[in-house]
Amino acid sequence: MVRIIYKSKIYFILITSLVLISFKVNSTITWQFTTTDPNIIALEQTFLMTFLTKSLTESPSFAALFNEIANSPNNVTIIIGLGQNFIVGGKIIPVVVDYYAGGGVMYLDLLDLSGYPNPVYNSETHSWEYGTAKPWALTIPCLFAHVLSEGYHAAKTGESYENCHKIAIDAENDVRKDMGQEDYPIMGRVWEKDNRSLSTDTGNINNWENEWDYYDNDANLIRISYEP
Amino acid sequence: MNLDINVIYSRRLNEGFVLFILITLITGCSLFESNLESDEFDAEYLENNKERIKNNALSAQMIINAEISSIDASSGVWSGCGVSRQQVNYKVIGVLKGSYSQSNISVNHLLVNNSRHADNDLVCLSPTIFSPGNKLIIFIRQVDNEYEDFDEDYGTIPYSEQNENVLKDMI
Repeated sequence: MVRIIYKSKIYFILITSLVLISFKVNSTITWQFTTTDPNIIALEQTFLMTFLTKSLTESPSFAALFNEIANSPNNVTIIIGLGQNFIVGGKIIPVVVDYYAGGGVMYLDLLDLSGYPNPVYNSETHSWEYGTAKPWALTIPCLFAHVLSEGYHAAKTGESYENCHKIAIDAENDVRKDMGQEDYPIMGRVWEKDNRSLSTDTGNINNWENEWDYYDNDANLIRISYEP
Repeated sequence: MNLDINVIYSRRLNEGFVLFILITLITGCSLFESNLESDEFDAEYLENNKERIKNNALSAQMIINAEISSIDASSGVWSGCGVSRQQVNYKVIGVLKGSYSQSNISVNHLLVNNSRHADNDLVCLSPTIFSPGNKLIIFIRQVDNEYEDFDEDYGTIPYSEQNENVLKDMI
């Protein structure tokens, strides 16, 4: 089941068109979708355009990074995957899935990103609800900056993951400063800090959920319920 | 008669001298060749990435020869925005750089998709490289009380006497 509620359809269509045009003119960033389901692709495109537009308009650092990539000879490929789930403490937890694959290729799961990283399980519909609450809507540009920067520097320099990762963290933090979100951690940083594992052996679902409780999940821009 | 003997002696001396020169040249060449060989890794792909391996050797706090005793389960997540690692447990054979006095060591290896260390299909380290009994030379740094590598492709190289000698020359 896919249900999308837009706050402002006209505004959305306008900004989406602008981003689409800018892609067509000079982008060397390729967005590939792994699914062939038109509903899922439509959903992922909605996320992509919404969050990219938000990132481009609200963060000068993100716009600078995006332009640098778009005007460079280096190709960055972002492969958008279908939602993946992890079993933690006996429960299925959808989390953001993104990874570095070298040579400028990044995998990113936009379905998970939509609720990054705090989806809510709806026991009536038996589905996970992904809300882009205000803090999350603001952290998503940081994640986009990280992914684009990491892939771009891998393509540009061919350096190892760690070097690209360090540069990507700087890019992410620049965007976070632009958006006044220095104090909000993102999941990757918490993982690294706590050396947390999502394996069934060591994952602790209660602690993991509580970690994110202080975020307000109601101030939604888009709310989506998706049942695979 | 005396003259003949002198000629024979002279010929034998000449022959001996030529033989001596030949043996010296052959020995010298073979020594030179073996010296050349010790400057090279035992595999072409290592030679092709010599500069990167040298950087790793110079950056590492420790370089250890070790045999894999066991491999912990993978977290199931590739490195991306968050760094993901898989732990491998080793029996220490020798220490090439730094100091380490214990007989076992656990090293957290980077899990990066499409890297030399990664499996082609599953989210885990390659079983071709990381299997119990395999001997590796590992470039290690210490973070807090844990040990980790820092290069998903050449954070380890296969152990051999030749590879060890090349590394010794590098550091």
